[in-house]
Amino acid sequence: MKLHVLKPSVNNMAVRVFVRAANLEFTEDDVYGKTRTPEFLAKNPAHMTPMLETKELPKGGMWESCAIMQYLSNKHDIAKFYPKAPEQRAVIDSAMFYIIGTLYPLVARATYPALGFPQYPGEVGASDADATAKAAAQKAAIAAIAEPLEVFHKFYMDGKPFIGGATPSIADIRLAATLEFLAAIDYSLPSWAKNYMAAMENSLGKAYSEPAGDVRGYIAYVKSQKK
Amino acid sequence: MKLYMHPVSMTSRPVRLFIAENKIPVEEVTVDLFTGEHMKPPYSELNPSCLVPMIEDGGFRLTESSAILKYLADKIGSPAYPKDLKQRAKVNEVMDWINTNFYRDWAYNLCYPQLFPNQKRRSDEAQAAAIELGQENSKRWLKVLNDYFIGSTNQYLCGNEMTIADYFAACLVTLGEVIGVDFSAYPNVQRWLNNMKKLPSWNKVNEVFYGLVESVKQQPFVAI
Repeated sequence: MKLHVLKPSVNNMAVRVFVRAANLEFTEDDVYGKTRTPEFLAKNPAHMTPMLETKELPKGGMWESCAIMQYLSNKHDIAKFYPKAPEQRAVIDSAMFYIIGTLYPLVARATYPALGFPQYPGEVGASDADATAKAAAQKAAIAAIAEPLEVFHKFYMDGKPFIGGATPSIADIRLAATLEFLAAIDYSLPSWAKNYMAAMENSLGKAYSEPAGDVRGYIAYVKSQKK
Repeated sequence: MKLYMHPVSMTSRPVRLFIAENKIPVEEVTVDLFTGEHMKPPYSELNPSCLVPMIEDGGFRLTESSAILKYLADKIGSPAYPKDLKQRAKVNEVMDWINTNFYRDWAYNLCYPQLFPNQKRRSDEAQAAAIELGQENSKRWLKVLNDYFIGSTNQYLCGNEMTIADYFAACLVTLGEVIGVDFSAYPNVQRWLNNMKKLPSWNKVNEVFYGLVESVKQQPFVAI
């Protein structure tokens, strides 16, 4: 199977970590600058990455990082990262939808201006509002991150090292990857979150740190461009 | 022992690599160069040069990656810094040559002015002149590295055994990868770099460095 990826993206990082941690056979294709070509759009009209390409899927491919991790866990019977029992699975799914629906949009609004990524239509950052208004919008997003973070801490982890319990789940991979972008704005993570990130890297080793290196390298590059 | 460093600091890389390869118990402390942490207290009080890397071994502080490598190698009795008078002198010679000759042009005239806005020369003309000088001298130094220090038969810079000169130089020479330098015109250099990249800790130590290389891959840098 082939993964079409953009290496500075944490959405891509999540899947890149997963396939390495799960020891799956894969090839990676860096599609920087290629996601709006006719060839790519023919396979992926959403022009999104990460994209998994495999003949076994009905349309030959799919996008959505969480769905990719769920699919591969189902396909390869990887209960370790995605438990089979419906109730345990429900917790992982709930956490992932909460990340994608609530936390990630806030992280995007908070960090994309620093990362040099365009924002989404309808956001203040993407509008023709003046710089002051845009800065205020970014600030509001940054301030709003604390609440979902605390929800992960108190509700999903609740004294356990990971959402998955003793070992990381795909929800943890998605969460940790998302939090990597916060370094772009020097966000002050609470100590439990710093420990969590270290625990993720310790637990998954190179499978985590190698794709993380691409995100961190991009963030370092962006920061180095400040005059 | 603490190592104050940053993952994309070029000169921190050789020290991190030597520490990782030799499993020296060191606590790595990231000094955030991007928020100016190195220029303010407390770090500026520990190191008035406001640079990384720096080690703190008990109360003993040491800066300069070349000096740190020598200290660490001697501390653990590593054969990578030979005790024989002439062999040691050769290692010192190569490390000094890298610092006083190679890296000055490679980094400060060729690579850094293209990579970092605060290293860019003040006018287009000055910038072009710096890069031209950097290219010219880098080619000269790479030829010496290729033909003299390595040659067609040596595996490493000081012969067939890896020394701290190799740790030092390999990290600094690979800075060129950020601007897309092709070493194929220097086959002995290429062969030597391939040897160094086989070190078990090379990929790990350089994860963020290679992330940086990936990030700028599409940019139209001038190489050699």
